[in-house]
Amino acid sequence: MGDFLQGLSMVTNFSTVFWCAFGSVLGIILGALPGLTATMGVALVIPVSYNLSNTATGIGLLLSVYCGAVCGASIPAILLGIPGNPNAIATVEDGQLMTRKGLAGQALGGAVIASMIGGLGSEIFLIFFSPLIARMTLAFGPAEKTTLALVGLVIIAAVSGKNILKGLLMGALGFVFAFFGKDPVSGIVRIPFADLLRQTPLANGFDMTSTLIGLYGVSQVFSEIPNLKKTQDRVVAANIGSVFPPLRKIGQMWKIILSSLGIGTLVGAIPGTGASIAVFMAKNAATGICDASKGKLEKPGTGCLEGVFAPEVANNAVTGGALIPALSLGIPGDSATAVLIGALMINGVTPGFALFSQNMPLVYSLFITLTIANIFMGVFQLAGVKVYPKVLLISQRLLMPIVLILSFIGSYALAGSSVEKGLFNVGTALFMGLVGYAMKKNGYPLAPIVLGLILGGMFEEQFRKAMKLGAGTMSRFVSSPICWVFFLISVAIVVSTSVKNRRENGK
Amino acid sequence: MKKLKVKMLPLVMTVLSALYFIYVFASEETAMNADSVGGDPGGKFLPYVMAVFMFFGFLYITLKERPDGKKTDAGDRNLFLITLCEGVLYIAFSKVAGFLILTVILLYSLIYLYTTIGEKRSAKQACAGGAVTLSVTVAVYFLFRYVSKLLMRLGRQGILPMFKSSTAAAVVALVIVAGFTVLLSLTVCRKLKAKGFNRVADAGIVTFATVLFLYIVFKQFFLVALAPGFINY
Amino acid sequence: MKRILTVVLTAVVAISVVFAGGSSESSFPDPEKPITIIVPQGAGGGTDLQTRTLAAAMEEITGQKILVENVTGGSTGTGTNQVIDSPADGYTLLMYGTYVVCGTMTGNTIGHEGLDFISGLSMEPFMIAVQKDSQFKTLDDFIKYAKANPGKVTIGNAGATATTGVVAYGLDVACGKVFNVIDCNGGAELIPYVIGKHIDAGIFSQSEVKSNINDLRPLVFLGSGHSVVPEFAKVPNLKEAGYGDLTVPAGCFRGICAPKGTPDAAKKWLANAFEKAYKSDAFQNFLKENGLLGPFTKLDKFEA
Repeated sequence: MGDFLQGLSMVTNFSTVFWCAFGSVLGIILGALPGLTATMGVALVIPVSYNLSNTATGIGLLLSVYCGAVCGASIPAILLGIPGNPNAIATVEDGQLMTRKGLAGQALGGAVIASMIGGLGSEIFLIFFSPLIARMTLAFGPAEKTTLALVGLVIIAAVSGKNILKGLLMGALGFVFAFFGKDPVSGIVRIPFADLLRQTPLANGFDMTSTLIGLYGVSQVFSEIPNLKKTQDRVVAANIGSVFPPLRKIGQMWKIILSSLGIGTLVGAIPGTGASIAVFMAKNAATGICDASKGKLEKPGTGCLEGVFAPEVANNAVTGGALIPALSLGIPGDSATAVLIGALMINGVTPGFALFSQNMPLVYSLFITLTIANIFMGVFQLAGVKVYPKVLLISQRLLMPIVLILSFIGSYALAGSSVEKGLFNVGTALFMGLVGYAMKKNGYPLAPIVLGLILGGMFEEQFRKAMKLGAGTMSRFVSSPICWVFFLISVAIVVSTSVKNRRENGK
Repeated sequence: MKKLKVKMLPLVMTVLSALYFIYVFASEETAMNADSVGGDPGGKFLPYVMAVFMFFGFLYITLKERPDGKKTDAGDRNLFLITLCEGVLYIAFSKVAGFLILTVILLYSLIYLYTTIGEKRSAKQACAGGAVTLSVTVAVYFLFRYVSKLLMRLGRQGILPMFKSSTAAAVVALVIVAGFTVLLSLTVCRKLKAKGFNRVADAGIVTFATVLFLYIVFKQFFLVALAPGFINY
Repeated sequence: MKRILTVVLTAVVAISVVFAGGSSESSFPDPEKPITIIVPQGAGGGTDLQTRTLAAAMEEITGQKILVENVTGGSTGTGTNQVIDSPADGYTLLMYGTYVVCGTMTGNTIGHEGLDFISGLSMEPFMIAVQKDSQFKTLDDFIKYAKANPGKVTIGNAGATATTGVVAYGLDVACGKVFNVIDCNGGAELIPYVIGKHIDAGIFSQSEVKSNINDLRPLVFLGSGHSVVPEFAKVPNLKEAGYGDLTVPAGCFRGICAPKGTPDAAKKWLANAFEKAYKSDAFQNFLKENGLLGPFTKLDKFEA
């Protein structure tokens, strides 16, 4: 208790509150603008955090930016169908459908509340079960991660689109995109005309976020062109409606919230996995829960609050989850926490076992600032919920060129200081825009491509490592119960979805 | 053109999968060679699996699905191609011409083309508007850049210490651009609209505000090295 | 319309001329142009952390914006090449390390031939460590068991072409190729695999072992003499462990380089700024905290 009070006294000052507020707003802006990521935001405020006299204040600033960026990404996903960053990729479908129904306000408000629930809920796990969960994640070796990636991909193929074969094929296409670039084991470049092109940015493969921006942003512009000549009636969107989803509805969704929270926290805690798997797993779990609810809940994918809630709870639960191995083992759960660990060390905090045994007041102050960060995130984003949908009042004819430029600049900015790399990213975005346009027009889902690209690298790297550890045999897979569970889940999903598809198509 | 009996996309993808298989087959093995125990299936294993899966998957769809015979409108196709070409040119010339000029041209022309769908377009009017937009944007650019640099210099010299960090100067730049946007839309744009040049005025002011806003946010706040080109100050 | 056009154009020309004339500043550094330090390794690793600490200290002291950018790939060759190919104006720097030599050996970069040295920062020794409950208590146990069961024992490193990879393969060859060498993607991946018993042993940098001291047991200290970290003072070095004839890299040297041909004035400014940052409390604490050795060196006092 003494430690807690000491921690509390470290953060109860004006400057902490001010910088947390500042960080939240900055994070939301970063999250909402495609191309500016949570990782980048955290990296950018490190110098500021370092200059703050109080370590706890600096950490509060960093955590606020991190949480805000994850939450802010839902704004463009819901309003424009473009996820601000990969965190919001599963929010797009239902968010867009709700906007089309004129429920933009409720979707945005719901997303914020879901994010707060996810952030605060996962923090409870972080505070009470951190060492336990950290130990659990150690059980995830190469073989286990391979099967986890498999489950992730199968789920995405199952939840997006009406035909699981098309989903799986798009996932495979994503894998193929992921295979360009370096061989993940030896680091040798694996591209066509390697001798000629090895000095070009292609040697590092396609940038994941540029691909995302291309598939969702640029392709949107291409797809909208035929709609431009219609009269511009977006009035339905201007009717914001209530921003607070009815409390009773949230109460009914308690199962979805709990499952998303658990999935987000656990997946977030496994190093090298990240939010993009978690959000789809959460959505899939939510679909199952809705099926079982006998019509009390609406099914994700039909433009309902459930479909926004599940991924938005999960992606903010990932923030708490990713902090678990970061703080207790010093191992980052995702790229943003990697930068965060660096920032903590600069601020004089060495993550790892020693942190919990030697510096409990600081740990408490960190938990308190994380709470503040999550609350501010919610408050500031809710404050703007009535304002953001105004963007929909802008005519599509004006908005689409701006979306195109924003996609270009966003993918360019990801490259850092190199102009060539930046332009290569813009090229990637344009190319993926064409791919996305062609696929969308023909009824193929886009999300599996992005996930394939994200998971393809991880899948190949871990699969080959697992094979090598087993000296060329599948022994590492066979001997692991976790692998068996994941494998059986994958098979079950493929079979059940195919049967369901067949039945629905047969109708 | 003769009516095709199969859908184009799955057919193309089937062919591409086959080509990908050949490419993987022809490329070199990229696994580690210093490996004494072995066990790594190598860098070609999964690409093979994916190529085979995609080939048969898309082949199945090609054989099963039939085209629905929808046709695209010629005007839409032109607009699509123009957008695509402008995108390609934007990438090709970014390094030479730089962010400012190219973004103004791309944004202005697209907004003009998109907003005038189904209306009569006037090339002369559009070009004049574009030239004015570009010059005004460049002029304001020089102005706020000059102010930012001046403030930063004063910050470094300790005369105005609050501007030691370039972020403070960026805030001032943002205020300048916001001011000009309001000013221009109330004066020049209003006059142009009164004379019936609605489309040009809209495209111009939106382009001006968007480009400079993006410049300040990405370059001055977040220090992204935007392609400099020949207008760089 | 025409009148407005003329007025605006005249104004533009006038303004451009006035402002273009006033921009002839050439002293290094331009307050607005950030200095970018490229780390050719991933975020969150030892090299990255050290760079970020240094950059923060330097930004604090000079007021100049310092960006740290991770450019991975090509066994650090990609990042190194990006620095070599960038303009030699002092605004793009490289966090140089022993790993760049490895990148040079694999032919991915021309390495230090294209670089000018600015300052040397630290030397971080390596250790071989196992999970704390492991059956291997000493290096001798470990190698003997591996020799008796060829191919059964797995040993991890931070990447095939990272310096720890050179250690792992060097050890493997010296013992008659009995190990199953697993290349991980940086220390951040290797650590949980060793702690989670997926890999039997790993080559770590000392700071990595130190921050996981409750889960890892060091078998041998690869640096010269003994560790300066009190917890590791008793860890035997190679000679004491009975393998004095084994020659593998002892650790990772780190320093700052600029592209060849960077003006002397800029190099001098940078070297002085790095010296101040190096001597700052924050960076000194960081070094102490991580048990890093190494006196600060600057400009030509460096031999690769």
